[in-house]
Amino acid sequence: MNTAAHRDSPGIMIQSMTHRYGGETVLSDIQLTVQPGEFVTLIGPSGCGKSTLLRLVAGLESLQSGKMLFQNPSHSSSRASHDHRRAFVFQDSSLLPWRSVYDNVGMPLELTGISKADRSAKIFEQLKRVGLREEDRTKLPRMLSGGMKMRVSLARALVTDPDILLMDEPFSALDDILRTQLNQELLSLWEQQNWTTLFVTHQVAEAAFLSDRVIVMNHHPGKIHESITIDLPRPRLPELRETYPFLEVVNRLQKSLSEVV
Amino acid sequence: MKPIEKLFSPGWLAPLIAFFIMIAAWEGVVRWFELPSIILPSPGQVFTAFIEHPDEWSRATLATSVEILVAYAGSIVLGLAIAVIFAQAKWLRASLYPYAIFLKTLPIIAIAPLIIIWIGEGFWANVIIAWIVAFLPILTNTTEGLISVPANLQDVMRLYGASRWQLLWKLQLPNSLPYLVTGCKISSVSCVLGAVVGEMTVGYLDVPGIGNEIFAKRNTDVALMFVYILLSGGIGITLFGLTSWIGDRVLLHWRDPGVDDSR
Repeated sequence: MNTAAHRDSPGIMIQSMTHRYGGETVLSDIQLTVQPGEFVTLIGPSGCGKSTLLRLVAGLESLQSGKMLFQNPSHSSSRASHDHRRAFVFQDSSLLPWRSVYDNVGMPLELTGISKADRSAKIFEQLKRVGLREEDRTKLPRMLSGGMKMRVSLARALVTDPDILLMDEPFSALDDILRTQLNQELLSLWEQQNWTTLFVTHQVAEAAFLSDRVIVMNHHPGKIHESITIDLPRPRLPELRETYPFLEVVNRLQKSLSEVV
Repeated sequence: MKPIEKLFSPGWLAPLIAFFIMIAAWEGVVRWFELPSIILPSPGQVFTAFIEHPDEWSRATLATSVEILVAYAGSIVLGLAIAVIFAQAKWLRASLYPYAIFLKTLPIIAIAPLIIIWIGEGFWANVIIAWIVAFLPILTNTTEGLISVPANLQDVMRLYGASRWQLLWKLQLPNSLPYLVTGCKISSVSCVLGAVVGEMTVGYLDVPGIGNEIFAKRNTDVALMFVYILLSGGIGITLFGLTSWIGDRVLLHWRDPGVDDSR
């Protein structure tokens, strides 16, 4: 866990969460606590319900049983979920195809009724933050590469100034080089902001590189198999990927995954 | 492509050559078999009829065009409005949509006399008949576009707390735009059919449209009848072309519906 949180990101507390689709139990008795400002990655075989878990935290699915609390470190009370700004980055970039980069990023602000003039500064700030150039703002999604679309999607998520960041396999469609690069960029943003982060991936190396903790999940029904703390120093730089401790962590995760697959 | 190659590309040259071959064949057949013009006039006779009666056909073309334009505008406005209502009210859509499809399958020529009995012959009866055939493709296409928004985009909107109005305005309507354009293209041609059918059902009027004239000339002046048939086609092509041109411009900022271009 990163203790030097720059802001009051809330923690997430999930108790005895069970979720069904039709007759099938997708998630069974999930107990999970994410500390304020912690980067937690969910990993597991397909059908382990990791995406469903993320959607539940995002409020895109309604809770069927169990409890979910968001706890602010500076307040003793647990508050209702809508007090916190949750940002979600989808697996596909999910950009509105008829809107320019600028208008896609500004969409969440537009929906909450923030005026055009007030939006502008925030949008430009986020475009810069995710490494998009100002002249890209007028482009339509179909003109963008996969990596750029993901940057726009990330900018849209960050524009609301969230305190919880939820990411569902955001880089899965990208090639390895681009993925590594975006991992690095995400991490440097996260190290500045310390969003409480839940990240879903299939990639063991990605999980090892980004996370404070990795949750390995079992499937049919989805359960938590093991919680593995990643004791690698921060800030993490690309060179870390070639060090022995990193490879050891990767092996450790591989081994845990092989137990459930 | 070099300019000279473009000049001889099959794109426009081929139909033009085919046109002249067909006209020549037509003329040849009429002359060879010495067909009377009351059965099949030659292209030359049709052209002569066109030249000799400019007042008559321009008056009819204008009358029919106005009917078509009013029906077309009404189709777009009401087709879109009803589609929006259908998209909002699941129960209403489920109840009425099958009947809209049923209405679509009824031959308009069978409904036309009923409309004339109810409305009385003339302008508005023809407009309504044309509207019935023309608004259905817009209704069905646009409804489809409004309700077939990709799930991931709905998630994005829900995540940021979009209201129903915002969902409609910022997601469903833009998503349905390509569908609406397709509907309009179909509708632009259907309008002509509806108006001419309406006019032909009545027979002849004091202010005749193209359909009235076709009806009136069928036993007397087949050459002029040909002129009217070609004019009705001309109106259809013009309206379709105009619709496509505007539609393409509107959709310039768009892409194919339902295609996931995110990867």
